[in-house]
Amino acid sequence: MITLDLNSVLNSQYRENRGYKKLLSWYFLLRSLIPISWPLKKANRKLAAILKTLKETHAYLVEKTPELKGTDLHTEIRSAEKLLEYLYEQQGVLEDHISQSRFRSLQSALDITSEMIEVLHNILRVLQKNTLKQPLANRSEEAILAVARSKKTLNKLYGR
Amino acid sequence: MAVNQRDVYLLPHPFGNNHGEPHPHIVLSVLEANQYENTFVTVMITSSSITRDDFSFSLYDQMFEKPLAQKGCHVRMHLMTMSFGEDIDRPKINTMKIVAFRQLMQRIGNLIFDYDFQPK
Repeated sequence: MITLDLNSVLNSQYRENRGYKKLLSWYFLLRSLIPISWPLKKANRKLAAILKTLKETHAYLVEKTPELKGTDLHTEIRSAEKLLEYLYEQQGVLEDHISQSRFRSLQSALDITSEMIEVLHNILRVLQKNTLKQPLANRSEEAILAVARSKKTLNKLYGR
Repeated sequence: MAVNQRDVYLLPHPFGNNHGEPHPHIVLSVLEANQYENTFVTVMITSSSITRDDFSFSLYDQMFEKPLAQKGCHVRMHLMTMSFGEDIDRPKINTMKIVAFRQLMQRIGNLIFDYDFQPK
């Protein structure tokens, strides 16, 4: 039986991550006044804790995969994607700062964020694989285009 | 012209350019295979929210060397196509970063083929 409220876990990770952003903002503000590193250390500890929870969530999902099959996991997928989008933005901000040599201290935060993104992709893979999928009633224009493109290539190949 | 894995091209509309805007495509196949008979395998990108579904892989600016032209883009992982090199009528528009490409291939392997696509 699935006992983990995955949606709540993912949403709470999202909120936690916003807390991380606040801490990081404090770091940048204070750093411009005095050489101070505790907000960054605290922020990194927070990030590491989020990463740990994400890893545990993934392990739990892998273990429970047979029970997940065919259940509606769309809410969880949306929550995971919302968190993923946020993390990619965070990664972009950290990369921009690190490119300036005076922010090399952010490297560990970037490493943790990159690992979080990887784990979240692993979570999404499990969720997307196992969620209930209903075949589409109407074929999309994109599907028609994709098939037409391959067909055109084949026809060209055989000189038709 | 060398068509490399992870390159992004706007491929012409298969029914002719007056039928609609061309979709960007990410090249999935490797250079060696692409050069063999001047063919290559791609997967389609769209920004349509209507077709965001269980086979969508969300794309973000940070996954590419340049920001995407539109927000809300996603790959329709089940819509893979084969094209000829000569079908390309304009330069590549972007390149997907290797880490993000690995995630895409793993997701395609898992969802579309039920195979574990691990990079070398």
